[in-house]
Amino acid sequence: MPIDVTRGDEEIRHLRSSINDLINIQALPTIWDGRESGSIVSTLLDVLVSMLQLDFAYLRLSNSINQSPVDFVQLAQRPAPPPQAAQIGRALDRWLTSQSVNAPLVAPNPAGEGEVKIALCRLGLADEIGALVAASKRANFPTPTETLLLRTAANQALVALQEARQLQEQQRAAQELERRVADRTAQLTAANEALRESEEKYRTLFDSIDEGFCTIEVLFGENDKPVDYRFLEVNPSFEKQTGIQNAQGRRMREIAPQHEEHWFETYGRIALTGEPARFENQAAQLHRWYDLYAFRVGEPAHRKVAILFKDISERKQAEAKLLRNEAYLSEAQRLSHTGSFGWRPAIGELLWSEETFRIFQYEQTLKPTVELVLQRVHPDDATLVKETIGRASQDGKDFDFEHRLRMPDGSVKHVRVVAHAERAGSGEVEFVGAVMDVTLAKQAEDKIRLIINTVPGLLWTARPDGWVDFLSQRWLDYTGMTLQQGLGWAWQPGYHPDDLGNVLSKWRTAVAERKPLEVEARLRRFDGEYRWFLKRAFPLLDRAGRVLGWYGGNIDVHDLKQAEEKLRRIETYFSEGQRLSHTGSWAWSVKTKENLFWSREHYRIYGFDPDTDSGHYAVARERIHPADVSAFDENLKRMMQQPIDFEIHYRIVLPDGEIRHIHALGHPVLNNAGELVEYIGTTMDVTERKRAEEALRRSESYLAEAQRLSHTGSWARVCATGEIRYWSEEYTRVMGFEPRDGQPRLETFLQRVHPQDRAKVRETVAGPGKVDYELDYRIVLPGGDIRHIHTVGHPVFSPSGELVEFVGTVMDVTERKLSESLLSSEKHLLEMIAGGAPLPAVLNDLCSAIDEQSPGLISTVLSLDGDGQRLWPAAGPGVPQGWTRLLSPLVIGPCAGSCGTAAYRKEMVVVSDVATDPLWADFRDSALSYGLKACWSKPIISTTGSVLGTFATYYGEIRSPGKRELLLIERATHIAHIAIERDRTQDSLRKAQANLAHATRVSTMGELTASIAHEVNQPLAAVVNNANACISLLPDGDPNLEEVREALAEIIDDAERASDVIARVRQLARNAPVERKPLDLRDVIADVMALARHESATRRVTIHTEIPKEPPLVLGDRVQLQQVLLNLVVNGMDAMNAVEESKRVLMICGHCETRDGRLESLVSVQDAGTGFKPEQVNRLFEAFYTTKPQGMGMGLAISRSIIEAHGGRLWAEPSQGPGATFLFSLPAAPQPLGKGGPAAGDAAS
Amino acid sequence: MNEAGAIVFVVDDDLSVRRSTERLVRSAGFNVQSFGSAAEFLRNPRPEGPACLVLDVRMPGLNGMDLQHQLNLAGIHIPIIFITGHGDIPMSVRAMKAGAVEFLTKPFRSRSLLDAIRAAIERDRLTHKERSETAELRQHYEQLTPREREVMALVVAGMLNKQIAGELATTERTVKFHRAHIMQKMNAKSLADLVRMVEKLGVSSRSQ
Repeated sequence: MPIDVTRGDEEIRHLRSSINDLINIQALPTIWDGRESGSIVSTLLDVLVSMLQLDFAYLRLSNSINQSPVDFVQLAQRPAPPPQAAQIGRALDRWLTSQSVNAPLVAPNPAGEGEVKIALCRLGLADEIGALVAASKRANFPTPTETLLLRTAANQALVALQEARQLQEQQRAAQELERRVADRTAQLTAANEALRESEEKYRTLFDSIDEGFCTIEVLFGENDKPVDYRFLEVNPSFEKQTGIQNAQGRRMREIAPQHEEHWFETYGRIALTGEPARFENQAAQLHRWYDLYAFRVGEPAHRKVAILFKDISERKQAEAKLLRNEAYLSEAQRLSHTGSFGWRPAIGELLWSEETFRIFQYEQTLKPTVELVLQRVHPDDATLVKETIGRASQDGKDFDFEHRLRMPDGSVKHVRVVAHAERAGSGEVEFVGAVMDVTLAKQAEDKIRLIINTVPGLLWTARPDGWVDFLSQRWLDYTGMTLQQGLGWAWQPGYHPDDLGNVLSKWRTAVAERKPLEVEARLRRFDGEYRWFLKRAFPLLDRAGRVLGWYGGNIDVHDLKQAEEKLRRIETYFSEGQRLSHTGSWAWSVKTKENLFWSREHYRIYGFDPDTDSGHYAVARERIHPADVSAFDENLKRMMQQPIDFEIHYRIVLPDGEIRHIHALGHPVLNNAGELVEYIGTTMDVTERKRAEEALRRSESYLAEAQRLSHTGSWARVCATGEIRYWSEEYTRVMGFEPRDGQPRLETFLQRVHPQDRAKVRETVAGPGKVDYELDYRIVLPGGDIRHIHTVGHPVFSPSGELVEFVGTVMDVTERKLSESLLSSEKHLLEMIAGGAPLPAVLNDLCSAIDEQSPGLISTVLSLDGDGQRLWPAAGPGVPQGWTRLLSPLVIGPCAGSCGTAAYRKEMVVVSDVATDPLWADFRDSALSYGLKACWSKPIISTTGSVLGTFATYYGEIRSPGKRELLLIERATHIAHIAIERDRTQDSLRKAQANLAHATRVSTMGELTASIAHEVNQPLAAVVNNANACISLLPDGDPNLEEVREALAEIIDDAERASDVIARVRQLARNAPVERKPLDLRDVIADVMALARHESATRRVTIHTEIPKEPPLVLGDRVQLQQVLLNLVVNGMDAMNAVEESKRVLMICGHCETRDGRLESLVSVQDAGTGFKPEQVNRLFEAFYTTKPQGMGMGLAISRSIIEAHGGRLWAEPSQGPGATFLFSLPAAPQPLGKGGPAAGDAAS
Repeated sequence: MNEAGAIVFVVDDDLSVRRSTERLVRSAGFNVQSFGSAAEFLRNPRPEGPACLVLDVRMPGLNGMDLQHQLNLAGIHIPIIFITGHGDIPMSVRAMKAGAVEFLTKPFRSRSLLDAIRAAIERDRLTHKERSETAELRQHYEQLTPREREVMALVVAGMLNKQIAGELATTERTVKFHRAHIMQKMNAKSLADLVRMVEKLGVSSRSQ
């Protein structure tokens, strides 16, 4: 380059700068060291642009990895929008690919306007790095210096880029390597893991399998002959399977010196060849059989073998056994001509034993099928066989049948086929059975059968179980059945229904016990007739005692049986006859002097047992009564000497000591030669008859006695004549006849009858009646006595039914009648007394009853009054009124008529004749004027001995009391006594009650004293106040008269109020007699409220009342009812003493209700106090029961008795809430108002 | 004899008694108000002037004795005259101990009742007077300065002015000065008067 000196400084400067630039560029690599391509390029471009003042610098960097290059550009200025490096690259593409390098190039400025001069530098020998383009608008661009710089820079860059690329490559390779290593490692780890897992599984398997497993090392001797092996590893089951302990490491020869050679050979072979082997073999020394699988493991050179084995010793033993059994079976079958078979119908498989083949005459090589079987089956049996087989395969049930076979040569065999069905697990049926050639047996059977059919008699055979398998022809002919109808158990209908049961049970027993059978039964003939047969059967036993079969026959015993029956019947009748008549029969042999025969009854008569005792003469004789023995012997002697008919009586003594009377008859029996052979006769026990005779005699005498005692006579009257054919002694007595009068006639009899009763008696007695009758009538005895007769008659008929006579009794029932009516009256009177009937009514009824008892009698009762001096008439309905008046009163005394005297003397006074008796001196005339001619009086004495009164009877004629009258008087007095005493007692009781009520009232009043005082003081105070006020008010000049008047009026009111209270109190305190008046209960309630008002205030008790709208009217005593209600109210308040004040409420309610059809008024008092337990309710009303400390306990008892005396009830109920309710009910007063109820009695008490 | 401002209350559940008593008392010239029950009476506003109460013992609801007790508890000191239909000694003793003026049984003499009423009214009046006097004194007392109270306490203790001065570390003259004011404020005519006043007030002699 020529150096221009003129421009020397500038040049130098320029150079310097260029050198600097160069140095800078040289220094670039250090900057670039280690950088990557991108930064190298950008640094380069930067430097170039600034150093050379380029417009832009562009570099294309080729990519070693992929083919697309990367464009870089650095611009001096950035127009907007800034051009992309790629754009510039594309623009410069022409130059980049062109080969000419050195010529300065001009190009349109891709990075702006105009044109630029470009300088191109290629990087790399083959552009493998890239290309560099510098561009500038300067005209002289690029100067040589710039070019130099450019090149140098490019070279530097090239080197750096190359290095960078190399480095990149290295890095990439290293990364790749790393990645590969990592992958590899992962693979290895996974493989190890898998290996470990499988190791574990293997170990588990190894340890847990039941089979033995071991690995061995085979030891070889010379010539590679295996001689021994050593156990390397064994699993736990190894020991179990082999019995060898601690095998590991040991040699087999060591463990079992006698171990078979083949083992070593086998293992050696496996170890050498590597071929696995499966085999079974025996290890004799170990006493075991094994099933083994052995295979080589590891390197062939190691000679290791693994063995998996199982101990099959048992199986092997079983197999051996099975084989043995099979052999036996086969032999057995051959010997017994029995073949066995197995048949699976579902798949048609059929298995036959050897013998079966032989039986069917098939070659053993053939496959057994059902068809083959059928081919051999006899045509006649084909259907049966097919059916049986078909059914069996369907039902799956056992079968057992016989059929014939026809062999190819035409011979016939009989076979019996027995099969047993078994179900496999799948449900499929499999048959196991046997085929037996029973031809010979059958032939033998047939022969016998022929014999049997020929022999006369109904013969049959049966199997051991009783199944009839053969019936002879005769059997079939008789019964008319076919063989099919009779075989097996089907023969049963042949027997009579009544006998069948017995036959069956006996037959079954015989079969079971293997004992011969014998039973009689009726067998039905073909025509329907039944005939008796004797059925017998015998078992055929083998040597072991087992039944092979039954052989039996039925014999016709019908006629024989009929005869038997008849005979038995006759015998029974005869025996019965003897028994009933207590007659025994006997036969006596003269020759042997011994009894030939005694009938059953004969035994019994003598006290022997017909079934067990002998009939010897000697024993009978022993029983004869000692006293009669000689007579008996005497007779015996005579009868032995010559034939006589005899009749003797004697007694016998039975073993228990009883004596019986015997009447014996005897008759001789002669033989054909006329010789005395025997005696026959009867013996009769006549004890009963004898006894009966005696008893009759006795009863006759009793009867006579009884009649006498009971005043009963008996009679018999012939109807036709009316004649009394028979009359007993007592009859005459009763009727009042004389024995010497003889036979009583009907008319005489009727005359006796009381006129009033005659007609009815005549009708019955002489009438046409033919039935039993009973009659009551009176008779009048000669003395005038009237007696009551009761007669009973009974008709007696002749055998032809005609009425022959009446028999009957007559009985004197006078006493009884009297007693009855008296008793009935007494009962009635006592009932009246018990029922509380008023005394006068009772006494009047008494007198009436007595009067009825005795006609003409007038009875009366007088009662003694309190002073014991005067008798007052108390009753006497029959007594003339005037007379009663006269005797009111009658002063008692020693001479005061019958009653007065009787009361005075305290004993009965009988005045038969009033007219003459001194006792009646004073009253004679009056009495006689009233027609009273006799008077008997008995005093009525109390239990304490004092005279209550008298009972007297009057008569209108002179009369003394008979027994009967005295009895009447006695009874009447007694009743009167009871009545009067009771009345007096009742009276006292009522008085006592009233007193007690009064006392209680007073005490209640006492409890209320404070209240009463208060009640009175209030009005009094008011009065005083008002009066004083008046005094104050009046003196003033201008008195307030109005006020004064008011005050005075109030004074009057208050005074009355006070007076009311007093009056009420007084009333309560009075012991007035009880009144019964119609009362309005509301008034009672109001009274009590007034009385209790203050008390309730004091005690802070609130009283509510509930009053009905209709007035509850009752009959009663106001004071007493007030007392009751007050008692209840006070009790109620007392009960609430402990209750909290606000809760002290007393409720008084009244209402009417109907109960049992009667109208009642009810009042209830309900408190809210302590209440009472239900079980205490009755105690509350007891006298002296109280819960109050100061109480006497009489209040409720008295209240109850008051209410009950009013005809009501008083009771208590627990309230629904706390507390108790006391209630009383009273019968409503009968309407209309104003009428009084029944008086309490106006008798003086 | 009309007592101005005095009023008599009558409480009895019995109508006649109530009316008649009212009439009687009115006729004697008193103002009367009557009630049928203790509850009714309690509902009534307190009387202004002197009053007394004629009270029945036995009444439903709140009875006389209970009413007396309640009034005592409430601090209402109206004098009570009990009347009763029946009384016993223990009851009357109890009533009197509880502060009743009189205990009369019905029927009572009018004179007894009227005398008792008068006594009761008088008592009530006195009580009132007492109370108002004490109230007045208290008012005066409030007006005293603390120093004056100190001085007064010592004065009524009987100390000399000189002593008082020494005690309070002041001059006699000052003491005298205070004293004059005390007397004036308390409206006491004399030392004795003052002493009485102090006693009534119930302040202690030494200062508090």
